[in-house]
Amino acid sequence: MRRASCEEIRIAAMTLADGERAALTAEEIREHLGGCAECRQEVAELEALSAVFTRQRRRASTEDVWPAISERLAEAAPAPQASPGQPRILPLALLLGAYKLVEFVPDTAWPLAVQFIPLAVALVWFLRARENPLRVEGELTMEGGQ
Amino acid sequence: MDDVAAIRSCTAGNRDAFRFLVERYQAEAIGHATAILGRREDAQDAVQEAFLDAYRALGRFDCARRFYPWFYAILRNRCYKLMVERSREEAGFEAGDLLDRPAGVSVEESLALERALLKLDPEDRELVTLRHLDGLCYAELAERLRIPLGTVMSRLFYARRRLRRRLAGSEGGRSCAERAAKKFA
Repeated sequence: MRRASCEEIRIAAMTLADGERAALTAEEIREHLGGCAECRQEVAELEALSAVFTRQRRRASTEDVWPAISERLAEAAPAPQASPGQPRILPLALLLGAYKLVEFVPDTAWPLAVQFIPLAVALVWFLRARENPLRVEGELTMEGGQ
Repeated sequence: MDDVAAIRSCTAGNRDAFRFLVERYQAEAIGHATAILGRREDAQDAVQEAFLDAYRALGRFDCARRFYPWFYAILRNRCYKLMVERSREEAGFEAGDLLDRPAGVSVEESLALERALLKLDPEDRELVTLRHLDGLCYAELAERLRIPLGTVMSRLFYARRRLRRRLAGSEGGRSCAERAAKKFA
């Protein structure tokens, strides 16, 4: 079995000191620290640093940002609530699917204008929903992604 | 009123319901934004913008989840965007915005720690303060920062090592703002 490096031991030791489950056992860490003065020293220093924080706390905030926000809310309308588990695109997909099935009816010759119906429906749908079908959602995923 | 009721009310068009969310979370948000940005004034700007972003995105919020972790992702994004803009101005940080001065703790200790924190990269500062000032466990840190658990372990270790070196005054080199600009530009 590969022996853990000093760096791995130090990371695991601090993870254990934080009360978390480490990638190495307490036994392995203890054994290494027993024979490595440098690791022992750094772990002790980092534990002392953690102890310093127990005496500190964030500066409490008394600022009120609501007045500034409320002035600008009118121009920032929230997007309508999406119903969970039912994407807004679903009815459109069902409609277009049904249209495709109708195309399979034998012995029917559809006029050219009729063949443009799916495109027209999709266009009207996106215009009504004010959705850009080509939009890349990267930023939204980062900002509010869940 | 609770968060979900406020969010539903907002999406139904009641703007005043958003006030509940702002007043409930603004103090926490300003504290977290200060940890990233280093300055209270910048933090307030970022928090304002983040709340407006959140308001616009409320329709996409999954009410089965907690509001603040979702909002934190938006806030974080705002902070780092603002940092890129402000780092070009290269203004120095003043200690005093981040930590309180609790009774029984020497002012020197608090100031030294805060100065050392302000010399860290914003990402390190964010991680260390979320861990040590907010007491988030590793799983919560992973969720909040959207990184794997193993990455939390290693990043926290190296952030604390850098903080210790800053405290000891043994690490010089490039300024925090310089590195932040390079990283996020």
